[in-house]
Amino acid sequence: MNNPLIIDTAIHWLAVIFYVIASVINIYGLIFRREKAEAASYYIVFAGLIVHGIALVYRWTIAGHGPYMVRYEVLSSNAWIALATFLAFSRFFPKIRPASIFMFPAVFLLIALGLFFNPEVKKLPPSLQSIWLVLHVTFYKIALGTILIALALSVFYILKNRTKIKWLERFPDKETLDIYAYRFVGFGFTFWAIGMLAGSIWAYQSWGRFWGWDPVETWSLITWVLFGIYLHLRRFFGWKEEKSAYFFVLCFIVSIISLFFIPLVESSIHAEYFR
Amino acid sequence: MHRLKRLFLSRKTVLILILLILFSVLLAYIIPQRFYSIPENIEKWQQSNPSLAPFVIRFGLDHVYTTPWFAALLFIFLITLSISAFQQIKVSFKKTFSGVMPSGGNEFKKVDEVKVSTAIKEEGYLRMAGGPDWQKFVKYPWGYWGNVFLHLGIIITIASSLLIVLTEKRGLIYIYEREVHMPADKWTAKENGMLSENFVLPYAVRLEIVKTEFWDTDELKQLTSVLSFISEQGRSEQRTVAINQVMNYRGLNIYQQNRFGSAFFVEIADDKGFVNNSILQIESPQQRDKAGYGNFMIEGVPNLLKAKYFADAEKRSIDSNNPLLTLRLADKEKIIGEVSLKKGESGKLGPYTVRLADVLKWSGIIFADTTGMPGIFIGFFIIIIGSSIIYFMPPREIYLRRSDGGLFLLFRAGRFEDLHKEEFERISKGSEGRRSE
Repeated sequence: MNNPLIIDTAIHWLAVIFYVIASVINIYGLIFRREKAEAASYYIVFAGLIVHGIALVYRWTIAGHGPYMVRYEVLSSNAWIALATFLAFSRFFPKIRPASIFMFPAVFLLIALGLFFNPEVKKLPPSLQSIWLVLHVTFYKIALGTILIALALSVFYILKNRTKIKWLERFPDKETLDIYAYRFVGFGFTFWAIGMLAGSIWAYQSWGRFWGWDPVETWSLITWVLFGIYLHLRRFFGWKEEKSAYFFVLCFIVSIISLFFIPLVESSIHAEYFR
Repeated sequence: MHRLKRLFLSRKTVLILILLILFSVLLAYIIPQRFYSIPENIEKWQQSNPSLAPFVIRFGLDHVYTTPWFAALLFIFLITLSISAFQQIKVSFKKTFSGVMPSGGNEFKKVDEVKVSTAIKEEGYLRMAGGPDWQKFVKYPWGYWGNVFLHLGIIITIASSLLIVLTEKRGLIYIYEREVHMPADKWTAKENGMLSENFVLPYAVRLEIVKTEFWDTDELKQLTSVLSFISEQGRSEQRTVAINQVMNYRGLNIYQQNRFGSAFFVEIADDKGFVNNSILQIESPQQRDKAGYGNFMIEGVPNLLKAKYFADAEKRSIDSNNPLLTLRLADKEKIIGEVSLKKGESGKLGPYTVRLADVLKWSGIIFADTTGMPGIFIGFFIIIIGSSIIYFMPPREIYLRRSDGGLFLLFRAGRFEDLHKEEFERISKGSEGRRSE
């Protein structure tokens, strides 16, 4: 038990257990209208978040850098920030709380997926040793959290519109789902922009250019512009409801390709991570 | 003129421009770009796409971001945004300070004067306009300016990036220890803006020493180069540059590139006694038990020289002064000679006698003369302020009208009205008069 990687993995698994229990209770509470169960799931998921946070801090200590290099730590930190973002936003916008039925399982699936990859520590190359990198990565992760919420709201809008599933009545009315999805895409657009700004400052510091048009950067810009088109279509072309929900699902798929698939298939200055 | 303005302001024009820019970016992603890909890859792509190659060359699709048509596209987008931003400033100013009361009366609700004033204040509404019988309160009045900020930010960012594209000068040199790069020497790679003159260094540069630090996993920890800058008068000044530690010297920003390796000084002698001195610069291996590779065509040697080296001949360290160089002479697919050498050693390579005279380190140094970079960051910062205001602080309005001996309340929100229903209901409930009234 002296191997720090085993300790790290064990704490992560403990967090997964918390998340699984929270997800089951949350789904039960939402579907069968058990408010106490739903409330309890938030306490459990919060406990999981703390355990998961401890795992990430421990990982940071043993690796000597933040959790943004290998797939194991990238997925784990994405899950943590997505959940923290959801919990923070649901405090200010209580109407999005039923989206927990999507967010809690999504979070435990992300962290569990991470656990299937090699947890070995990779050292940080000198070009990645910058505070701007930490900000760059953190804001992309927050953006991922907000667009996950927007995805949940868009999908629930489509389901509510197309089906007569009983438990969907627990969700706000369709108009509210639609407008919250719109707003969370706006949040995602903002956080994605902050991530790009921090990245361009980091690139300038490292290579003397704010933009290198490398594949990951290009796809990140394409995704951001797509979010911009979504917002533009909604604001000026009257797109809303199901049409915009489907368009956002497309935007989300592109964002996932940008974040997770392009670094795998393309050679890039960003290819140091997620390998 | 009016028609032109309408065309620039049309939402369709904006959308088409965005899509065209997006399409250009996609083209640049699909077709190998000169500044990003190595020349062999570009040549390979052109050979495998012979029908597209002339079209690509003619329209500069192999360097999309430095073509005049891409600059023109950005410029038109810039004009559109500028006109739109100007219009938005007028709209935002009017919205913030307008004294117009919304028409209609059915939506107004009768309220208690004292209670409504308290409820409005508690929710953070500010009085923005009013007349003898009406008042306008707004929560987050700066929210009206979100779009203006967003557009201004995009304008500043695009204008600055255009300025950079047009005027930037960048040069890269791969330089080995004790080598002097003179101002007139060729760059390893360079990028010149469309309007900029040829990039010539105002001084000579000598690389004194390359320092490498590695993690115990053989991954690079830090790379540092000590440079001497030699003026025309022969005065020399020494400075250090490292990855992520930019240096500015006489107006130029100097960056340490993350490429480095060993320069092998090889003497190749043929059977007639002709000696060719070559410097083989090979990129460092990734690990102590892996080799770094390079292919070379040497003057006077008709065959391809394939080279590889291990950082340490014993493979015990990634950072050693005892590398092992292996040379292979290839005649098409066939290897006609092979020799492994340590520093100072000689051996036979096919018909040649080869001696490894010296081994020095080399690294990549980038010189950049860029104008407009602060504009990029300021522009981006303003974009973020704009979109934060739009989505985090959408404005909502409350109108109070005095008529028929009572005070009447009306809510309005330009965007996300449904999201504020609860807030409006809260104010409405807290402002109701006594039932007896």
